[in-house]
Amino acid sequence: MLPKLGQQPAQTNPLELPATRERLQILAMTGRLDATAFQRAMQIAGHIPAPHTWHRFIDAMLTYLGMTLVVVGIVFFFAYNWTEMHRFTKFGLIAAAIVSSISITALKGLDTLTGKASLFAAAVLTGVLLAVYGQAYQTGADAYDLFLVWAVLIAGWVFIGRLTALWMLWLILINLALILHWGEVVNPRLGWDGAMVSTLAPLIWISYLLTDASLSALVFILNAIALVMYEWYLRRGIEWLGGRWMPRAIACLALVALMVPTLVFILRSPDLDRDDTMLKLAPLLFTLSTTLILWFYHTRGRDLFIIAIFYVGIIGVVTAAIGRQIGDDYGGYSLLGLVVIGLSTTAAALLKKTSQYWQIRS
Amino acid sequence: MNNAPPSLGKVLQQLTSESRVPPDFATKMSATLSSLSTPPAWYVRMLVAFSAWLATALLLVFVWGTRIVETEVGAIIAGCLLIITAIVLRRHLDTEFFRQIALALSFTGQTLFVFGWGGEFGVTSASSTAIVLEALLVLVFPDSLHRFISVLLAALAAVVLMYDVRIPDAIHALTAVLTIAVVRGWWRAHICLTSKAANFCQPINYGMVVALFGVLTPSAMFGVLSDEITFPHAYVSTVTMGIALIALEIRLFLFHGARWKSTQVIGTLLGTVLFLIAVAQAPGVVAAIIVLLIGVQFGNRLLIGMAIGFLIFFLSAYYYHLEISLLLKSGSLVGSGLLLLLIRYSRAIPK
Repeated sequence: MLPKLGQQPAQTNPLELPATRERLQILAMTGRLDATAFQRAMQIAGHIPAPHTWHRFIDAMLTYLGMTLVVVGIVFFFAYNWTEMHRFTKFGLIAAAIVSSISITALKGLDTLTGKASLFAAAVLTGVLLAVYGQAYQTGADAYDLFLVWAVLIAGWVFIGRLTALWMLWLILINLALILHWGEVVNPRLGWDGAMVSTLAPLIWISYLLTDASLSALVFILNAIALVMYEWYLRRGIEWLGGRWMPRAIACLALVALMVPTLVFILRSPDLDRDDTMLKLAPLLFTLSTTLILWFYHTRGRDLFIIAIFYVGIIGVVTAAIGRQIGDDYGGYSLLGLVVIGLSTTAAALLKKTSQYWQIRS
Repeated sequence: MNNAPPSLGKVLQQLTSESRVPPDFATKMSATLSSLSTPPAWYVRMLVAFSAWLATALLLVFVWGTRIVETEVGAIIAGCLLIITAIVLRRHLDTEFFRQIALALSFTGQTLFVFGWGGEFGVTSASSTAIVLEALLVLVFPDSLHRFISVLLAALAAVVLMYDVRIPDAIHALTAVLTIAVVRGWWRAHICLTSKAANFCQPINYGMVVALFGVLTPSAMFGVLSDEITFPHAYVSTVTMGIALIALEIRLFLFHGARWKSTQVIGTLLGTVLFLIAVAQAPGVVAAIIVLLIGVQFGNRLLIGMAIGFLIFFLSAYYYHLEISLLLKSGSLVGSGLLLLLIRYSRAIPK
């Protein structure tokens, strides 16, 4: 059941509310706390970390940042394609780096910071190994092969790793394998200009490929399954799934896959794609999926970020639809501007009411 | 950082017991707190910003398509009128709908004004005027989102000015100013938030962070965006930001009561210097670390997210830097990464 958005928040004792940074900031900004008291309140509430928290953070930062820079540096090194270096030396170096990373994980354990960071590094280096293999032997394989084999090879580590970043990497690899397979095998559109764009601006190329409604429907289904599984396992109390960044990132991917074909359908030339059934179904898929996702995150998932990005999606689609009707009548664009503002005002008000509603329920 | 902060009541009680607030403070606050509403989350503000920009684009299509403004002087006059209307609207009609209309009118007015001015007097004059205009709007347009965007537009205008007058090295002065503004602004935010300038602190501080990241982006994509957009002698920015990073570390040590001459403090500072040498050509990495440290010190997850996001973006974009070979980039990244891991595992950090 959808929340009653008109309902006012209950008059709970405000002193029982958590002392969030925003609430303390409001007390400071309205003159209730002076600078010293505000800073002390931030310390008491734990927003300014104590020295031991700082130590933990520095440990984590040095490990993750150090590992990231090393792995990115290794990627750059092999992308340089040093011709003087024999291919076996290259393979040996990457294999040694992978074995070292896995050994560190085995020694330190999967529950430690170092173990997790090393496992992630090994997963990334596996992709480097495959890329160097393709570089050395000029196998002529399609790009999707690399991502698919990469995903298959690291699957075991992903399943035992208990690390959201590793799952996200895996999901991205599967997304890329699917999109590139479609663009290279199922519906190839890679001319010389496409080849150049795919090399220089891969994100633009991927967005272009997503204009194929059948592909974007598959990408949406893939990410929707990932989202459902994440929320399902989160509710079953899997501790390491904590944090909302991953479902939010997946929701963004799903929204893009829904929006691109819908916008293509709305803005397309009337004589194009007459027989593309999936393209005709795109607005329906967008409407149904958006309704379902909004219902779920209003009533169960309670994630205001995901609701907000889907509101942005709705605003974009409605604006495009009205804009299409207006066509060359430029006078209508000033009214469309007002419509956009009206929609976003409504969205902001709904988000506020939803937040208040959750406050009542909790 | 704390995942579940204590209740407001407990925090106020603790402040009372330390005599930092009057004895009946918590009771008084109980009544007043119910009337205070927390500001919307950052992504709600981003939704509003997205819509305001979309509405601005549509208004500009309307102005361009209907040809109601045909000359540069006409654009300047129409721009001024729209900006003034927006300010009046924002000051007198305080509802969400009119707030957004005011934003869209203001941005449309600014675009007309600056492009009209540029057509009439040239790019140098237009970018200088845009800096002054944005500074004025920060003062007179009472809206945090508008202030945030004004800071970004002023920084953009400053960059355009530098490239237009062909002194690209001046970019280092801009990164230095922005870095100082970021460190000082966030470090003194608790004083600013309790002063009369409270409404200016947050938008300006966030604006400075995003402007710093934006200004440093060409240092990663040297020669990719355009031959005109360069970032010569990137190490100069690394040095100036490195000084700011060391100053920030010293402040953090002092704040948390670390002993000056302890091996940990000296080790960290020496490690920082070595790290700066390794990433000399990648100033964006230093900027990300500065913002990350500030974010952690003030429990600001948004800043932490921005720093990590920018670091990922910068390292990805750095791949395309055309002036430095991949081999050299690789050496610098592996070297700096190994150095950080060495510091981590040699325990040369305070315990």
